[in-house]
Amino acid sequence: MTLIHVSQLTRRFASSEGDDVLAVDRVSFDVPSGEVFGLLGPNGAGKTTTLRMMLGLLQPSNGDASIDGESVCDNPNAVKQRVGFVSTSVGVYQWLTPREMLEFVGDLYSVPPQICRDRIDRLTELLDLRGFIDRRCGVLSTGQKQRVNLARGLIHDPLVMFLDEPTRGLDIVGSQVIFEFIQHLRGEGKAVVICTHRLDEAERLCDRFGLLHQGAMHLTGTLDELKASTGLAGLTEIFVHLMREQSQEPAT
Amino acid sequence: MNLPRSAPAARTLRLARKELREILRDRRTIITLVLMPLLVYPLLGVMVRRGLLSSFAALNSASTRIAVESDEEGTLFQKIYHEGGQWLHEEGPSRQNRPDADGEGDDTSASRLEFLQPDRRSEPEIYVLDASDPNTSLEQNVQSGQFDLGIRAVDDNHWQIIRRPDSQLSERVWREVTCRFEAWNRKYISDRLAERGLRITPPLSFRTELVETESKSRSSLITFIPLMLVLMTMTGAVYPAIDLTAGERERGTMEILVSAPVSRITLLAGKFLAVLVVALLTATVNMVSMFATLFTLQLDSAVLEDRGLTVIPLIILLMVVFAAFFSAVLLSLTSVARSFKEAQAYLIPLMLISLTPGVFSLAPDLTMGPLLAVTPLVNIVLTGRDLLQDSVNPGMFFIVLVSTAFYGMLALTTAARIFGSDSVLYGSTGSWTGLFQRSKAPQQTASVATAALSLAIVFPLFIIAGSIPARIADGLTQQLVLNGIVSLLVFVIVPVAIAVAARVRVSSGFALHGFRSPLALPAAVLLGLSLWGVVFELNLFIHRDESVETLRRLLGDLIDRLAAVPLYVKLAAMAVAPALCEELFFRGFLQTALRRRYHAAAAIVVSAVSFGLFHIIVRDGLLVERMIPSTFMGLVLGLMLERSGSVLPGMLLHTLHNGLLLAVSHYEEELKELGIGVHEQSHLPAGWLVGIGLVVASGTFCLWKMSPRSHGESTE
Repeated sequence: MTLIHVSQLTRRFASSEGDDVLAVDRVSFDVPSGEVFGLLGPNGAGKTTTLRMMLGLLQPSNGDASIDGESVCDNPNAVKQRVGFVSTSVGVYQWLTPREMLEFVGDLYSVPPQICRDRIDRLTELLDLRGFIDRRCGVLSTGQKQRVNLARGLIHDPLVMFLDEPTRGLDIVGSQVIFEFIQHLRGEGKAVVICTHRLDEAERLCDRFGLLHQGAMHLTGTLDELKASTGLAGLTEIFVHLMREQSQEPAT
Repeated sequence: MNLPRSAPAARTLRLARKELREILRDRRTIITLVLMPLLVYPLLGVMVRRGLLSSFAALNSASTRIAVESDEEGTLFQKIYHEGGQWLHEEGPSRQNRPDADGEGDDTSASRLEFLQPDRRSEPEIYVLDASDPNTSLEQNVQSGQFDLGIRAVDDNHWQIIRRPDSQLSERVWREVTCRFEAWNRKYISDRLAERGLRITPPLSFRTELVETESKSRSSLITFIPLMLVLMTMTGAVYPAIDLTAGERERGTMEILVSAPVSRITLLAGKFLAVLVVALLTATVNMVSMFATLFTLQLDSAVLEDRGLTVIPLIILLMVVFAAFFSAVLLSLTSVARSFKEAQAYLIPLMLISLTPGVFSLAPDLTMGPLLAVTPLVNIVLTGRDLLQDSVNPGMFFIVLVSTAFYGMLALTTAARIFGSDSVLYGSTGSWTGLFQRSKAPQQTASVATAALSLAIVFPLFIIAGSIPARIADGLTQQLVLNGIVSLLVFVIVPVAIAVAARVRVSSGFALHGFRSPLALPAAVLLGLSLWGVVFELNLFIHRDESVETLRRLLGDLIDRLAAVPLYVKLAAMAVAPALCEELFFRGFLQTALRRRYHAAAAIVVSAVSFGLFHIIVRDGLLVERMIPSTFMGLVLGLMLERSGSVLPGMLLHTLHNGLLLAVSHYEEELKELGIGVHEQSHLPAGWLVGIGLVVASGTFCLWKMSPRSHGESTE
């Protein structure tokens, strides 16, 4: 069942010179339930902007995205209710404990208190939050904060999960927690979109890929499909080849 | 009362609780906002008291020094000075024209600053200058400040007094000396006359009485309280306002909030409550500490005068108003900022600007008028001053509260529009202008933020422009025409301009399209022809004797003069014009905008209450009784818009209703003959009531049978 449907999503920004900059150019893709989709691209490719539009944080200039049949343009709150969002740029509340923060976020998503408490217990087990669930977030390490953030993304049990550069700034142990978390999401039948420029990680985690460069989606498919269509050996080679091709195109 | 968890109010309270928990756990907040005032005021109080006491004590204890040029002069002067003093004492309190006696009869002011008064009983010290020194004259000695007064006997009967104009001590001793000289003269004349057996009673006798000015002691220290409240509530609100907006952005937690399915206005309402509580807490601690200091140092009567502790409820009321205003305004400003630093840069100019109106409260002659009553911040500061001096005008007070509430709502809806927007969250457009850019696509109806903006502009304009016709018109007809123009300006031109600026289509944004049910027309006619009876009976029910008096006082002879104006002129100016204009604004624009976001009942009630609030202001006064019938009509007219989908039937209903009420008052005499009249407190005849009841029921039935408006029909 297709849970995420992205259609011709486009976003222009006004530059300081007054011109329009095309950050995302007619991007389209689908993600079914239980699939992990890797939205890949170098820095500035438009990955995060695409994700923010899919979540209703940014208004698309054109196009639309729907989550579980709900259009982000027409019904952004229904989309937000169905999506969990985790990013390394998202912080934690310094003066709340992880438990208080999870209760607060659960309330934002209208999770009944008892169910919220049960989920906190479950997520505490899953993400090993026991040692610090009642300590103030301000004193936690980067890895611990990221685990709190992962729990926050799941507190309302969303159908869809967006992960934006989830391993940035984390050590090997921290990254491993993320990998296990993604496996868990796949096992739960959720549709997952991961934005990353770490191609090695993506190759290990994702079922399908979308290669973004300069705002446009150039290739989509499984690793085998990408290899077959390009005749190259791996994601890194495919990507380097794509970037070279783009840079050699004459300027119009 | 237990609200369901999903109710917006319950969610707002939970959001506020979470924000407060975070703010109050930060010890820096407690130290800055709570402990500082607890320490600062007592310290400041002690220092001020010491400073004042020492400077006045210096004035008090300093004995005045008088110089003479010879021993003979000194002896003679001392004799006259003492004898004059004795005679003054014998004359007693009847000689109230003594120069330094002013205020002696004023117990309040005497007791108020008792410790600050210099002691007038001290005797001057008299010195004889060294005659051998030709270089220093009497004048030079006084000029150099070595002596406070110089006395020279020109001959036996003529004395020259030399003093400095810039010295308080010099002036004080000069007054005393001249006073005693005059007394000595009087004694001399009296004694000479007595020797000849004459006793003359002066033909003129007088005594001075001190009377209080209309507003008590206008320049008193109590007027500092509004200024203090501005400072206290603003300083209390600054830190939480920044922390809960720009701070969220800086810590990266803003995305948690904006990616959740909660409306921004709910988020902002929670933040507003939290900032309000902290501002109130800070102001309370400040006030308690300040008053405790005043009481401890026995300075309370100097500040509170004869009002005592009765000012405390007023101070609490003012504190709430000030804190709410600053919380909303600061949140709207800090919502634009992307960091603490940026927020501080925005707030410093605001704080400086806010002090100017704060200082207004100290200006004794600044009287509250319609313009000042709708000037943000100035209005609450001046109301604070007037409340504390017990000289507040209820009409102005109401205008101040309503306009401040509208400004607060505008600030909050603006904050909700800005908070978490692309520009703030990601710096998309990189500037303020991006936040206020006009919508590119035409809008079917105005947004709630635009509706709040229109209320915040229309209300003050209504107060200011509404007061102009009576002032500038020559005759009554001219005044009525001007009133019509004001209605057109306030309720049509301004809202249309706002709508056009926001790219709202005028036809849909003002519900000017045709009505969908043929029943709308009979419903409007039937209700328009019959509701006057309901309002008539409603007025009898809430009628008070004072209300007619109040109306007569406010309108002067206008009511009598109106009777002479032809009915058709009155109908055009007082029935048709207001009905069309008010319908266009309150129902067409406001209710339609609210309906875009809220349930029909909420949209109808808010527009009806706003309609009622506008109607209770009559010139500078307040007719609270008008709230009920006006709001009732607002509800009926709101329901008509909701059911018909168009503002046109409401316009018809409103015009017929106004017209019939005017006709009833125009034909008052004729109706009296039928035994009907509001002044006589008589109800409509039973037959009329039954007829009116039947027509109202038929109109209501037509209204009911119209198909309800489907949600969002006019918005998409």
